[in-house]
Amino acid sequence: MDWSSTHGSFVAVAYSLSALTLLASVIVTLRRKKRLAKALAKISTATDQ
Amino acid sequence: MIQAFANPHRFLKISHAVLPFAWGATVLCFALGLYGALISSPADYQQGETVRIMYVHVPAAWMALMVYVLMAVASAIALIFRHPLADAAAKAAAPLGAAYCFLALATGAVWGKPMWGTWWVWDARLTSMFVLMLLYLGYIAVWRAFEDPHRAAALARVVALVGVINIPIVKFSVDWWNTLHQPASVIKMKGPAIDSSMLWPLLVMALAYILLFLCLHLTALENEIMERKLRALRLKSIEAR
Repeated sequence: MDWSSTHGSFVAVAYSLSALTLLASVIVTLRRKKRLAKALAKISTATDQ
Repeated sequence: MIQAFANPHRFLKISHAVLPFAWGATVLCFALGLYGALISSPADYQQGETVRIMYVHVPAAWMALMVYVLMAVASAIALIFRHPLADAAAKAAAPLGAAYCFLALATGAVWGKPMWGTWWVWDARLTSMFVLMLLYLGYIAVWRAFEDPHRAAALARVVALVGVINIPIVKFSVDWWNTLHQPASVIKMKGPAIDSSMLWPLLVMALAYILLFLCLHLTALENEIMERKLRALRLKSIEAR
């Protein structure tokens, strides 16, 4: 496929947009998991003490 | 079956066992789907190379509809059976559905410009998809607007259940009204009107989108459970002071 053609550039934009959006969803979800696990461990330790 | 997942500990156990396989299957499906979409499938005789946008646009649109139906079903289960994880399942699905809906609208606009000569037109299909996006944003806003999670859940259920009326409107808009958007060519009574060389990459990409949703939804549900635990522990520590 010729990515530099007019049609090719539209395809490239659509695929880049999809990749970025899906990747952002993955990153946001996994970072929230990490942050919550950290906060939970911290408060659990504080409660135990 | 529904009650079997009511216990968060049991849910977490199942989720931890399923997730590694689901992530592996997602990566495999994306690799195969992208190979089919960008390399093995032919260009269209009318649309040329732009037809390849279909492989990211159509699965995103399907997912936007499916995720909203899932949210409505989960909200109904929460309302009828008082299932403890049903509200959390609907809440966790909303941002993912909004992301798929955004993708369907954005890639549709990128496909529309070279094919229709315009990024956007207020026809029935595009407008009803835009309404779906607003419903997703409204649902997310309701959860964020209330401090009390019980009040937020009660209103969010109403939004999800009333908004599900829009789903058949989106699906059948191309049949009920004259639209610039083409009618259904895969999910139709007479079978798919698309060549198998283009159909298989489309179905594999759809499977990849479903698997990615499964992975992210399970993780987001785990996050919801952790957040509830965190809130309970914080309340407990405040009460203990």
